[in-house]
Amino acid sequence: MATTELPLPALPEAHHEEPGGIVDYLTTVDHKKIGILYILTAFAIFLVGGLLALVVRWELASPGLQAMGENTYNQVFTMHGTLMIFLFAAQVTTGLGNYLVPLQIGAADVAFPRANAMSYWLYLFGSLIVFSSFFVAGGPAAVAWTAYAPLSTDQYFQGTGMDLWIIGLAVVGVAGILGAVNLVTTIFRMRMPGMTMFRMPLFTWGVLVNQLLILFAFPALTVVFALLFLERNFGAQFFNPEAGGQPILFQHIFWFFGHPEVYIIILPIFGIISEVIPVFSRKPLFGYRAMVFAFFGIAALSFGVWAHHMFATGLVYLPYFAIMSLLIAVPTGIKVFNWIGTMWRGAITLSTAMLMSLGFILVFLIGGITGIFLASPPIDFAVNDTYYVVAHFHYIMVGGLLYGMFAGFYFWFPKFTGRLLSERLGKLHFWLFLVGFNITFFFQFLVGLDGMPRRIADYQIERWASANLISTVGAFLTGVSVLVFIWNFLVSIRRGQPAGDDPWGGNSLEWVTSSPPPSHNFHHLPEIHSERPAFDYHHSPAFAAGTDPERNPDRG
Amino acid sequence: MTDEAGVLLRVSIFGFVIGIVYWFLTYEWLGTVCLLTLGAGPGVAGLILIQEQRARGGAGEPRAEALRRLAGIPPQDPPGPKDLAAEDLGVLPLPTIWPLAASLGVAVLFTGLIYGLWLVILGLGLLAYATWGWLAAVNRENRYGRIQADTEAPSPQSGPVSDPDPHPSAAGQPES
Repeated sequence: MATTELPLPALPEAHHEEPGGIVDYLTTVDHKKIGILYILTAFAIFLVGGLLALVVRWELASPGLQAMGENTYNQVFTMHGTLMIFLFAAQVTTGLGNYLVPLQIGAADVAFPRANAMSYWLYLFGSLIVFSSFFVAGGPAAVAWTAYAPLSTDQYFQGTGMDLWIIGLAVVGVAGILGAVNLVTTIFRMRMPGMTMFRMPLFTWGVLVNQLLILFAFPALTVVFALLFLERNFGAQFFNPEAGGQPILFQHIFWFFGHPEVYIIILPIFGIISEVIPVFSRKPLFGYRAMVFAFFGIAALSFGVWAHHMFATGLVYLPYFAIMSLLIAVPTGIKVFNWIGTMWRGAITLSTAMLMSLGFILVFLIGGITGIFLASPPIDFAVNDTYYVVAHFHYIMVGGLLYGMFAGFYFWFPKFTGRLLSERLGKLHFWLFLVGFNITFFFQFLVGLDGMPRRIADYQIERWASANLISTVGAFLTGVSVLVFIWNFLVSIRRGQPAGDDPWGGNSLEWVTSSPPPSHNFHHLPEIHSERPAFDYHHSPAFAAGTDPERNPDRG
Repeated sequence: MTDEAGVLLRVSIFGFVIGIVYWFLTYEWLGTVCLLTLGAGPGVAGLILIQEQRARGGAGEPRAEALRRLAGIPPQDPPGPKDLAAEDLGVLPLPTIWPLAASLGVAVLFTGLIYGLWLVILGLGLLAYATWGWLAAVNRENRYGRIQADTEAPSPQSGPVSDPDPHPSAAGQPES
């Protein structure tokens, strides 16, 4: 066969300059840049969602209607929940996974780099479609982030804003499924030789289980939105009881997605905490395999508990869902036990990342324990749709997520940028956030137990006023803490202290490469012996003698 | 059986077991269907992985070892190779605008479901164009190599081209 001489596969940087600036990001297929795009987009959405939360707290600071009418209030809290849950929480961890997973498993990129770029752009365009609902006649959706039918059908809620909400989230759902296929394939197929499944870092495990959950849960979301859209626009009658439909159908399918969604959000955070605590305790993670099986235990059980959100409908089998919900406490307890076991007699360094991890354990425990009460049907009947539920899930979804996310930012920012975030500003951020967050939500437990319903713009019961005012003050304090973080980010990215390749003495492979990593991720990869390859490498005789290929590229 | 297949099959077993238990406790069909689907999806994927391993010539593990792995007790893994260089990780694809264009097409198409058929057709057209461009770019890179595809059109005098080895190393390689 006649052949021509072809260029050998070559390293990108050696022969090819990628375009710079905005074109670089519009055309990139590099998982690190796509990860950064995900994180920045999600964080921008978080800021908008946070502003909407402050508007809600402003309205509730005292009895009466201060700032807006009831319909506007419904729109504000609906969009707050939508932005935070669908467009921020589930996406920021996907961004971190995009950036870090190939580095942690010793791969040059994800399995399908172009499809990875498409996932991000679908997420962005889906989010923009949701945002566009602010600017149409009638405004955005006002039926809460759960969009229960028949309330969300055209029979009770007309307007294009709701349709844009459905379509936008459907596009984001497609992005999620595409991204999940990519990351699962990457972890299954792209690990470097020696990086067996049980040597993967816990963050990669968290992302793997999280993406498997997305793969199995997001189709339910897409289905239920398709049914709702057909009902609103094409005369279908899935949820209309007068035409033979079943309103309960919506809740079943929605929560089959909705409860795993909680773990879609939180499992990568568990992974982050499991990376940070061993590094700053100078010990290996206590119970590595137990942690992996706890991931799977939590994920599996999360698919069996969806109807505990529907206890009050009276149409679900209570003992089954109560028992399954209570069981989730076991693998979750294993995780908390193992984190404490890791710190036990460790040489603990209270860096900002470590403080955020400790804050995570604190708020997650409060959120988790209050959730166990909710798994009991009699208690759930009593506090259903009160601020007790709001406080519980904010302790998990806001406290758990944000503490873990910030721990991850402080931990990996040096890897992303080559510079350290300011520890002084970081600790100010942590303490403001700790105080502000707990003031905001702890008092909501109290008014919730006193019967204050959620999703109301006004209340006329004076004894709720002081708790609500304190909660509002806490919310604004939390907002100030986020401003401190943004300031820290802006200052450190320009003038931060140079970090070096491994400022913390990290365990996983990303700490072997440069900060930030080259486009092909590694110049050289060490031999893998354990789940702590970077630690092994940096404590090897060759590294100590300065004869390793990383420090002496000519010899590699 | 690989760890990957084991992960998927464990999820599958859980889905089927919990689906059956749920049915006999509740006789509620929708949740049962969801749980059984949870069992079927990863089960099929896991079986495909096993089949693929066999097709690649892997003899597979002894039965007892496979069962141990399924129960979460994998054998002791050997260390990886020494001195793995960056070249061993494979090549990266070129930057491309087509994923962005295809996503825009999908977004326009979906939005057309609200605003009318003309927008659906516009979205479909954009999606089709982007898909064509995407596949052409992938084909060009596969046939002529990453650098040549980026810098110059292939010369008609160069004759037939044999595809370069798409898997130059033992480690994985980005595809599309």
